[in-house]
Amino acid sequence: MNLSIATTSIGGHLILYIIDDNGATILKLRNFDSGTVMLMPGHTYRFEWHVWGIGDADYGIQAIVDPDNPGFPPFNYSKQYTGAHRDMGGFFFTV
Amino acid sequence: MKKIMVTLCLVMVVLIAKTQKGPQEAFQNEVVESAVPLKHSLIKNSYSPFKAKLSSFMTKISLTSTFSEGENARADLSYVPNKDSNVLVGISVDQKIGSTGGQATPFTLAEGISAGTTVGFNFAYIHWKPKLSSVAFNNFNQSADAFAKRNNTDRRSVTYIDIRNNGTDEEKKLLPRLKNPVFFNLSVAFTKTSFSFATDSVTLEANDASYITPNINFSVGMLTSVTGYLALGYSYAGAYTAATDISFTSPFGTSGNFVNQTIAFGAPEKQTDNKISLQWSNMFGASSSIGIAPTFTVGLTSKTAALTLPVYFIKGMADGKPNGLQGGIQLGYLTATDNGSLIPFKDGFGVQLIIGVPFDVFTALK
Repeated sequence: MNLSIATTSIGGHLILYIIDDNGATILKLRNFDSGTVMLMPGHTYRFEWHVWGIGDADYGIQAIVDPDNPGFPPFNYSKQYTGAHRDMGGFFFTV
Repeated sequence: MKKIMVTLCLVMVVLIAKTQKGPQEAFQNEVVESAVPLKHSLIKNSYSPFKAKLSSFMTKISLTSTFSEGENARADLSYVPNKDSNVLVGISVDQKIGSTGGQATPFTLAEGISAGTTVGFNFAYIHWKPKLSSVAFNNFNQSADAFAKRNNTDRRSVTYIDIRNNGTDEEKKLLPRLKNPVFFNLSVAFTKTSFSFATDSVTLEANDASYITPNINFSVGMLTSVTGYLALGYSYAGAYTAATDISFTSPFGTSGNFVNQTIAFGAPEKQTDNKISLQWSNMFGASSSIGIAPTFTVGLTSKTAALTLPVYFIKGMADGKPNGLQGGIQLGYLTATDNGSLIPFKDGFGVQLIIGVPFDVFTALK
């Protein structure tokens, strides 16, 4: 099964990683980007993103697994920041 | 509020005392100029404390221009060539215009680059690899799990700032240390200047000469916090200064009259300077009401050192609303370093008023 991700970044910088259970990065996206990576059933992956900016910024992350999988419901994330900012988010998931 | 600001400015004027003496004043002016943040907007022009340019990485390509009649005209072209948007290359053209000048002509086919024109090239790179270690991410995950459960919120949308602002002490303790970007900036500029001077005291024949001098700046900086930036830089600058003007009185033909003319006698003298600077910019207080940018600069060629501390606390107003810190005071100390001892503090200390110069922690990033 495949995990497809699209990222948007307006006014700031965004990096998103998909990391397998060996700690290796299997997908890296920056700012306005998109990518697809193959997932192995039964494996645990890390979904991790970081943002920073020196002014107002708007970020978006959309991710979906095909075919649908209860281990990863569609993820639709967006956040706005006012002024200088440095933030991160992330979670583990198993398909 | 306006009365309070005016009164405060008047008090600052009374307190101004400039006690610096000696030939280092020219160096001090350069140090002050490079230490005080310059007037540049976030997206357009960005200058580090060391006059190196670090433009915005937000747009793929940008072209900006400014024109100040009787002063100078400037155009900047920036391009982000890579997909990661962490490399930026740029070129700039800046021309000084005479006091009566109404247009800029930096280049002509007949003469090439015009006198008073500076052509600059800039390269900037952001190094940012924020991926957490397994241990650090596990700690974050544990903290976010607890936060989401306690607040009955979507776990996947919990972020570092959510926990830092609204988490319990136990949740905050698990937050990892985030890696901030490091900025590298290199700029090389060439300036053409023209001089007219005489070397023959009998004929007073005018010699016209043009010189091209380089200006190199390199800086490395990093975010120390969301509102703090630390930068180390090196700059090399070369310039030619005109010889002293001398007045000559010469016979005017065979009329028996005399004509007086003032001419620079002697070829221009080349001067160079190497400087190393360390600056830390930060904002404090509620609503970032105070901004500081202490800078330590060492002139390797001029054998001088300066420590400046601009403190911004006066907010500017635009359309009746505050629009950031626009003024304050600058404390400075300048000393020679060539004789092994420092100038007495009272002789090297000076205070200046900062008016209408916007303070921005990230001047070096803009």
